[in-house]
Amino acid sequence: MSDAVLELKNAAIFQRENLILSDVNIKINKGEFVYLIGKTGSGKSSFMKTLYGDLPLQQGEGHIVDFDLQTLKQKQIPFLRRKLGVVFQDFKLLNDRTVTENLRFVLKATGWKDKQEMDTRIEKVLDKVDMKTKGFKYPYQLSGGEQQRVAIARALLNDPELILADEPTGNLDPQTSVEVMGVLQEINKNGNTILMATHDYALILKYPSKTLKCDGNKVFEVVQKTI
Amino acid sequence: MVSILIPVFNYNVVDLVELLNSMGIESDIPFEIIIADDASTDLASAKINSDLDYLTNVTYYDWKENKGRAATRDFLARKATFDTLLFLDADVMPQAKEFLSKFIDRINDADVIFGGVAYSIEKPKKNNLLRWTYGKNRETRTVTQRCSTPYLSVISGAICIKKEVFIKANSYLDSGYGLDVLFVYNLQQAKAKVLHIDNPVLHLGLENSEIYINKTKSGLKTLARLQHTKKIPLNYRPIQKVALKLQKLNLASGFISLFSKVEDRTIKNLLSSKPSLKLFDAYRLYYFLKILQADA
Repeated sequence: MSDAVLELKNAAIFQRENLILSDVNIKINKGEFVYLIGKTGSGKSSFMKTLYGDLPLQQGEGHIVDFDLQTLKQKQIPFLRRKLGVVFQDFKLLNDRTVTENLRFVLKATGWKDKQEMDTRIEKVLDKVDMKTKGFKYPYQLSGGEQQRVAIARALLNDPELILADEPTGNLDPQTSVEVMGVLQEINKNGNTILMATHDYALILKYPSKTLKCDGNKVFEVVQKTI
Repeated sequence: MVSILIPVFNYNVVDLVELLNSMGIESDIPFEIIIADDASTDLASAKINSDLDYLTNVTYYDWKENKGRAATRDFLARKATFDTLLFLDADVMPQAKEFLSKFIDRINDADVIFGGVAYSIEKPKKNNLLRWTYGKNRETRTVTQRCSTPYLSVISGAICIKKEVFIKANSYLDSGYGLDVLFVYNLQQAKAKVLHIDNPVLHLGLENSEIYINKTKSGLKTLARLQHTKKIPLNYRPIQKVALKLQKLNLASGFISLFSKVEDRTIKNLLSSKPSLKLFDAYRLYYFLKILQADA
């Protein structure tokens, strides 16, 4: 068994008929923290979308958490997504219910039933992001950083094999970005694999890690000093 | 395999989506839920609905200019992954636990399946009484009752339908209110097989009486336009039949002038805590005849 949770070989990423990235060869192993960088329009978003099944992989090979992206059927996507935790730039928390209710909503939506088990799980993930005391609050009563922590907690609910964070600090000020980054780092130390798309180079310098760059229709690994 | 399609305008669909999603997961039927927001003006509920696409089975679309229900539903049908569509208006709530499978189990027996509409037993507040009284007495019908007029008994806000059948019957992408009659007429023309079963949704979105009267009026305008442009026959709906009869007997003008004398009192009754459906019928007939007379 390979340790890879994500592997693309000679893959091409398309947005409809437009070729966005070609000859993509990357591998992410269990436990890694990997950045995906690149300018707006360089293909980061299309790349991420291909990973969670929003865009089909039309060329090359791709495996993600035991799913074959090339033969992935529409009906398998929900099962793929249950193994992925996704964090978005704009949090996507439901403003008409509390933090706890937001998390319970997702648990129920992914097949959980036992109330006690759900409560335990919610407490555990909120604890991981240091938000245990804020469960009764509504998202709009929280700061941006706190909302993103809740969103990260939500991504952890089903113990995902890979967390895809798409510009998770994009809506946050620098200080808050660093705090949220600290949370992601902590989660990574506890064993979660994370792929984070970002254009915040200051963060990368502060928390150096393996970095992939989208540029000129290619994705390649860069060493820290050249970015 | 079913695509659940929800057109939305100014309505929070979180509870509906939560219920449908859990039903889908429980039933093990491959499913997706697609929400299309037709340029809602209530931005708070639109924001909440948009965040539902965090759920893996949910996709959300919106746009800036209001297209109308028919166009929104056409959009949804074309986005659907599966060939079996379940259309649910934003303001309904499934009743049975096996709501989804009750439709899916029968999909090979028909092109269109309608499970009925129900209204809450509890009386709403005075403002919503007209819509509730009408729904409870006229729209809540048993399977046997519905089978006597299989097409006209279909309320398109909660139907399970094959994609190609839907797209064909819904091809009239008008933004008018009250196009259901054309939709069911098109189904009838296409000889679509309609099945009535007992699987109701509860209709929750009761308009206040004043708005409901206005919507009824605009629905009647649509009806007149549809018959005028020969999209539907002159005697398709019961109200058309009565209007036609009065016109033939030269009684239409007399009815209009008589009823105009009690119009104000009728409206007062319709807005009261005891709205009479007989008066509502007469008022609708009066209004419909007036449009026909203006058109002639």
